[in-house]
Order: sequence, then structure tokens, then C-alpha cells
Amino acid sequence: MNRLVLPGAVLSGLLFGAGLVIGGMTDPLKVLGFLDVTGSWNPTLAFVMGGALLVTFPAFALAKRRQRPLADLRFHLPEMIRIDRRLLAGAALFGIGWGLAGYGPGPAIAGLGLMWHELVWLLPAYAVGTWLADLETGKVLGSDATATIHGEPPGHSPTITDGIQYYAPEYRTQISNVFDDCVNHGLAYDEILQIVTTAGKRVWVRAIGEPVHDEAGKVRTVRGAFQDISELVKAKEESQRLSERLRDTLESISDAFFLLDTHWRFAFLNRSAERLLNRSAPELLGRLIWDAFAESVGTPFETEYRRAVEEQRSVSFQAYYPPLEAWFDVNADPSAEGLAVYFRDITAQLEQRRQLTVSEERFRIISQATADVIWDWDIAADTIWWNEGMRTLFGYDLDVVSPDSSSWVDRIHPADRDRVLKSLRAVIISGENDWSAEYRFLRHDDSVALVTDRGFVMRDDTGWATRMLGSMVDVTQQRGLEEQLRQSQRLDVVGQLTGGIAHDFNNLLTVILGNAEMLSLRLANDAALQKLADETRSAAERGAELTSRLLAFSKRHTLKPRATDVKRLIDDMHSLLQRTLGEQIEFSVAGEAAVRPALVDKTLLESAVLNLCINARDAMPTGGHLVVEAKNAHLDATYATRHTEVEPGNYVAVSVTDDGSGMDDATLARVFEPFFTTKEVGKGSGLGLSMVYGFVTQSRGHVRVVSEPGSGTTVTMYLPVAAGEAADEAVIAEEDATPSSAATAKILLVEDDDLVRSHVEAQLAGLGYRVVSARNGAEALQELQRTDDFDLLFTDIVMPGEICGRQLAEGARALHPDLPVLFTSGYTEHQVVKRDASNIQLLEKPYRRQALAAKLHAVLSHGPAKPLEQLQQGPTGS
Amino acid sequence: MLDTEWLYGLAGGLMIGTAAALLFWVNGRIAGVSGILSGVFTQRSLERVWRMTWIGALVVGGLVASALALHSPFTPREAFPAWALVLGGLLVGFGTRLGSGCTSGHGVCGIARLSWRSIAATVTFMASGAVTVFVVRHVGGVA
Repeated sequence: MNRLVLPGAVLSGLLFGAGLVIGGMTDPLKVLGFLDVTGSWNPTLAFVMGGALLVTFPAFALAKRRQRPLADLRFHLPEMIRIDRRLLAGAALFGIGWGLAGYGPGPAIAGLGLMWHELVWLLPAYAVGTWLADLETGKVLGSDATATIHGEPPGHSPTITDGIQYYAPEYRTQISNVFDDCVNHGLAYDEILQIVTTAGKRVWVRAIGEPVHDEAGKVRTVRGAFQDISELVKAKEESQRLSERLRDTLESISDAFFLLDTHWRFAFLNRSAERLLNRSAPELLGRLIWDAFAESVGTPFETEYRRAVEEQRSVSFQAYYPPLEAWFDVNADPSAEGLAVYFRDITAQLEQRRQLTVSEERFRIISQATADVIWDWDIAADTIWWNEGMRTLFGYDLDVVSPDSSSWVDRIHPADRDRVLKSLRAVIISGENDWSAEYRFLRHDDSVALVTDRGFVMRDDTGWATRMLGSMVDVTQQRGLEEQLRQSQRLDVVGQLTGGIAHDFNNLLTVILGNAEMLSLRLANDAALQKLADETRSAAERGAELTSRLLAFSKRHTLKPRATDVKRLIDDMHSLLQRTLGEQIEFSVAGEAAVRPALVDKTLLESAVLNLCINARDAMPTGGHLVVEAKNAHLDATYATRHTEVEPGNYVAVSVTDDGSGMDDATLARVFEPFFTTKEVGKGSGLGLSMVYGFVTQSRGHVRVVSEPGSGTTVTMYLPVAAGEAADEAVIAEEDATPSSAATAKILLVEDDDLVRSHVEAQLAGLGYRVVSARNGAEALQELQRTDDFDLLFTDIVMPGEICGRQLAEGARALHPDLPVLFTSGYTEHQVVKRDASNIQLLEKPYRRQALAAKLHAVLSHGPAKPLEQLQQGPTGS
Repeated sequence: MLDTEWLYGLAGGLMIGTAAALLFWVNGRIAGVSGILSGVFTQRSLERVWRMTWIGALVVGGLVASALALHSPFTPREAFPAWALVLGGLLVGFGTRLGSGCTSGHGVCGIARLSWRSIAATVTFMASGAVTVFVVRHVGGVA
């Protein structure tokens, strides 16, 4: 025997068996599928046969050629071509059987291996036991497996009754009934119940029973199978529990969640989803989403869900669903089971966000629109947020400013810092919430601003200050204007006082001067006495000048503004100024060629320029340079807002500049105050600049002083421009005061001051006039009513009592229309006299005898037809 | 395991072919299951021995292959009347004896030898098998 026979058989068999299984020939469906030529055709068998033939063809051919043992028998030709009925019948029958069973002999045998494998390996896991109940003996014979399940030793054989007892109490009735039915009615059963093992363990089992009939048809035995299904039950319970847990989890998550299967039908909805969608789960489960929510078709919802499934990737989007009037935030994740959708209603959130945006927008615009600085101080983090005002008001670049509180503290003026920080600390510690402070704050260009700072403290629940919000207002300009106003008010008050004093003084001086003149005349013979009288007179004159200045300051001077060529005026004064200034001062005149004419009182302007030059000279004790300049100037609206009394427009600027000692800020602030002087006692009256100030202001102009200690001073007078051409100044010569010897006039003198009245009476008499005196307007009118032979009414404008000078004049005119009136005053009223036909002339106090005489002469001789002069008055409300 | 089903078929077929070639070369025998099986009962001594060995090895081979799950997934055949299965089995047994061969004997080895008998037999059982399936499935409505 060939040694290789058996090994060859083994190897061949193994390969053959494995090949059948691997090739799928043990799967009837594949075989039948191959035979099902008209239905779903399965090509597996073709591949198997093809694969086999691939090997056998060449192998057999080779074997034949090589003359392998017994090969010749196999290639017996006659045998090979004999086709007989037996062959064909057999093949046909085989085919039928094959088509029915789905197995050929090979696969059937190989299949045994399969089945055995199943049986041997898998069966014990299912722990199936069998049993047989003999009704005659009343005993149950069970297989080892059956006994094991009950917790009994193998071979244990209980009675039928005992067998029932194994069942858990609640199931005993059930098992008895079905067993009886089986015995009595031949009904097979298949139940799932619980038994209790000897160990007391409860076990779930599947009990199957069927009757066995004897020849007579009676049931003698019942046989069945018994299976421990604990594992199954446990698995099922576990699965159920997991499912429950999953469901609970899905229910409990606050997000709404639903599942769609692969056909877009609702497979699951949690409670939140029901709530948000306003539908119940039973209503939706199993329904197509596009049916249940028809309005979602064509919306982003549909587009996104489909996209998620098609591209097999998660999508996230927000969209508005009109039927529910809500915005949703949606996440959808596709899976093999379909689509899982999580969504939230974000309508409220979006609304909040929108409102927040609006509110932020509003704040941003307000903080930009406001001119103040708004700040927000996070106290804990010590960071300050500044609005744009920090840049526009103070010039700080917000990108460069440090974010902490040093950005503020460091810029408070050093002198104010302690005070401010102390007040801030006090507010925060004390629990108060409102804080305010006024202090100096440094701008970026190192200039100082005066600010009012207000803040509000925000505290947390424990009262701890967490944040502070506030605003800073730049009040520099405001304070400056307030200060200016206060100063000018102060000056006004002083002016009123001085004016009052000066007026009274004027009256006295009038007397002194008049008497002195008289004495001087009378004492022509006594030189010594005449000298005394002259000295008295000149002293009185000086006193008069002084009071005149005071009056100028108090703006109660009577101005005679005319269009003046200031350049010419200055040139005319050149020699006078040069003399006044002396040799040590280098004096020069400068300015534009074509300077507009100024509307100003020429005399007073001269006096002002002289004053300024004297001041300048005094500021340069060791000599220096002085320049008087005249040019056109324009003061714009911006300048006008900083200086209350200025009206914007064109002006003529006359300035006096020196390079003397200059003035510091403290001096500069008081420079216009009357009697304020930096000179030694007796060296200066302190009235010069105040007189200039009063005069320029009354002329509707503006004075500006610029000075720097050690550098010098410039005082500029801005004078209003005259409309017409500068009139040539004709020197009005004073007419010689000779009394008219022809018809001596009768003058009605009205003067409330007794001393002055008697003095003027004397003067008038001295001049050759007849005088009737009245103490006040009422008396005067009485006189006028009594007689009508007065040639002149000579009255003070200001008089106590009901009738003032003007009223008197009007009353007089009513009685005697042609009566000339001469007014006198040291104390101008602030009323404009209207132009009318009557004759109104003015003689200022104090007046010299000559001036009085000339005026009287002029008024009396020129008669009533002379046109009026407008009484100039000072600027209203300055 | 493999990506496509036909590869399983091909692999299995190659193995069967190799098995048949091996048997022919080494033992000089035709690997026809029905023939070898019947020989187990009819022949004696050595004939029996090698036949039984081969059948046994076939079972083991099938066992190993199925234990290692080397096949493409099987779906079980759904309810088919037991009597039809039995009838089919009987006809297979009878028919293979009458026709002296089955799929492996006639289909694989016979065709490889270019035996007209085998070719005719194969065509016949294929045809009758197809007709049977047609009748059962499409006329009878049974799987």
C-alpha cells in the first residue's frame, strides 16, 4: 500500500471540507440562488465550480500525461462517452432533490461539522435540558441539564407534584393549569416562568411540554424541554434599564431633542421638544417631519437637515420658525439611525442681546456726543475707562494713557491732589455714593484746566465699593468768565463810589476854583497874596483834573467821540511824549500805513496814551525801549466769548509796549483797580490805568494788557471804527469871555447845593448878569410862571426832588418855547437826549470862569436856532 | 472577512479543486462525495479505511472552517416544510446513486476529464435543479 494514501486522503478531505464551507456551499440560499435563474440569481456556485475547474483541468491533464496510477482507468474512453438513460434519470432526480433540499451530498456532510460545532459549543450556553413525565409512575425523568437548572444532582427524579413545587409561588397555578391541559386535552405548552432552586435562587426558565400519545390515543407521558433563560432575561432587563436610563437622560436634558429615522420620521421626542414645538410625542412619533411641520419645507431647517444627512456631518445654525414665532439655535448630528436634533429657544436671548446692543449703541453715541469726560473706574481691578472727551477736552491719546487710576491721579494739579484724593477716599469709606470735587487738571499740553468732577459709587451686596462712574466738566472758561464778571462788577461798584465822591468833590472844587480866581483878580495889587491865590487856584485845578479822571474811570465822563485819525494824533503827540519820556527811553512809533479812523474822544485818547507812556516809563527806571503802535485789528467771536464786554468786529488798535519790569499774574489781575499802584506812596495816584480802562470801555472799546515779569508789558486799546472820514480837528479856540455889555441878560439859576449856588450866583453877577436863583425844579418853574423875562435857564441836570433838570427844561420850554437852556453837570445821567428844536447846551463841572463866560455868551448870542449836540453817554450796562 | 462574496466562492472552489487534484495524483481516485460515501458502506478493508478517513477529514475541515468563521455570512433559510426537505434528501441520495455521481464527481472531476457522461449529467442536474427551484419559488411561492 502506498504510504501516502491515508495522508493524502486526510489532506484532501480537509481541503475539500474547508473549501465547501468557505465557498459557501453549505449555505442553501447561495446554492438555491444559483439555481434560481429567473429570480435573484446568486453566482457563488459558478465561482466555486470555476475555481475548482481552474485547478483540476490542468491537474488531470498532467496526471494523464504523466500516467499517474489508476489514471488510465479514469480516462477510459468508452466509459466517458456512454450516456444512458440511467445516468440521465439519476442526474435529473438528483437535481430535483438538490433544488428542494438546497444541499448536495458534499455540503451535507460538511454541514455536519457545522452542526456539530453548533451543538457542541453553543448548546451548553443555552442550558437546555429535557425531561419526561411518566403519568403512571408520577415521576419525572430529567436530563442532567434539567437537574442542574433546578439545583439538583444529576439523576434526580422528583414526582410530578414536587416538580410543580419548584415553581415560584406566583407561577404554580399557571404551570399546573397548562400541564393539566396537556394531559387532559393534549395541548402543548411553552411558558416562561420562574422557579426557585434548592439554594433559594430564583431562576427564569422556559418550560416546553408536549403530550405523548400511546396506541390508544391516551396521554401516558409528557415530554419537554427546559431552558434556563436567566441570561436572556438579565440581558433583556439590562437592555430595558439602559433604555430607560437613556430615555430619562434625554428627557432630563433641558435642550429639546428629537430623533428622526432614516426616512425622516420622528423616532423619539423628549419633553422639552414637545414643549417647544407645542406638540405631543404620540402625535408626532412615526410621522414624517415634513408632514407634521409642513411650514418647515423650504426653510433653512429643511436645507440644513438634508445637508447634514447627505454630507454625513453635524450642522449648527440659528433660524426663525414663523409658525411658532421663535428663534431656535439648532444642532443636528447624523448617524446610521437617522438624524439627532438638539435645539433651544433663543428668542428671549436674542431680544436681550438686541436690547443690549441698542443700549450700548445709545451709550456710545451719548458718550461721544457729550463734551464732557465720562469715566468708569473698576475699583477692584483699578482700571479706568475714559470716553473720547479725554482726548477732545484734554488732548490725551486714549491708546497711550495707562489703564489704571494713575492716568487720573498723576494729572491732578499737585497742590490739589491731596485734597481731592482725601475727599474721594472719604466718600468711598463712609458708604456715601455721591462724590464731587473741583480741582485743577493738567491737559496734555501741560496747560491747566479747572474741572468739576462728579462721581457715583456702585457697591456690591456687602456694601463694598466695586465701581465708580462719573463725569468731568471743564469749567476753566466758565470760571474765568465768572471771575471777569465779578471783577467788572467790583470795578463798577468802586466806580459808583468814586463817581459819587468825585461829583461831590467837583461841587466843592467849583467853589474853591471860583473863589481862587476871584481872589487872584482882586489881589492884583498884592503880589504875595496873589501868589497864594494862584497857588490855591492851580491846586484846585489839579484837584479838578483828579476828579475828572475818577469820573472817567467811573464812566461818568461826558465823552465827545469824533472820527479820529489816531496815527495823526500820535504823531502830533510825538514831541510831547518824547519830552515826557526823557532821554533814557528809546521811543518809536510804529504801525500800518492806512489805519481806519476810530470813533473816540480825542482829548481823552491823548490823555490815555500819555498815561500809558508814563506807566511804561516808570516801569523802566534804567531806561529801555517804548513803542507806540497804531493799526487795524479785528476781534472775532471766539475772543468775544472770553471777554464779556467785547463785541466782535473791526477795531483800531493803539498799543504801548515797553520792555520794562513787567507784571506778574497777581498784579495783572488788579491792574485796572483805581488807586491800585505798584509805585511808592506819593509817586503815583494809581488812577492812570483805571482811567484808561474806564475811558476805553465807555468808548465801546476794549483794553488788553499782556505782561510777563522781566520781559515787559503791552497795553492795547481797541477802539471802535468810525463810520465816516476822520474830521479835521479844528482847534476850537475859546472865545474871550467878555460879558455882553449890551442888554444884560437875566439868568435863572437852578442849583440844589447851597454853597455852589451862592458861588455861581456870585460868578454870574461878577460877569455882569442878573441872577435869580432857585433851589430846585419846582421853585424854578414857579419863577418861570411868575415872570417871562428870563433870558437863560442855567440848571444842573441832576437835582433831587421830583423834577430833574430835563423835566425842568421841558417844563420851561412849555412855558417859554424860545428860552435857551444851559445844563451843567459833573455827574452825567445815562439817558440819551433826543434831537429836538430846542436849545440845549452843556457846561461840564468844574468849569473855569472863562469857560462859563464863553458858554453863556455863546448860548445867549446864538439864540434858540442852534442845533443840538447829542449828549454822549457811557455804554449801557457795562 | 473578504470584501466581496465571489472571492469566498473562488477561494472555496480553488480549495476544492486542489483537494480533488490531490486525491487524483496521490490516490488516483475521483473526489466524488457520493461515490466515496457509498463506498464506505459497500467496500471493505483498505477501501473503507481511506474512504472513511476522507469523509472524516471533510467533516473536520468543515468544522474548522466554520469555527474560524472563514465563510461569508450565512443567513438561515426561512421556514421550509420539513417533508420537502426530507424528500429532497431522499432524492439526492437516490439520484446520485442512480446517476453515479454528484456535483463534485460529475461537475468538478468529470468535466475536468472532458468526460461526455459527466458533462451530460451535470447539464441535466443543473437544469432539473433550476426547474425545481422555479416551481417551488415562483409557482409555489415558497422560499
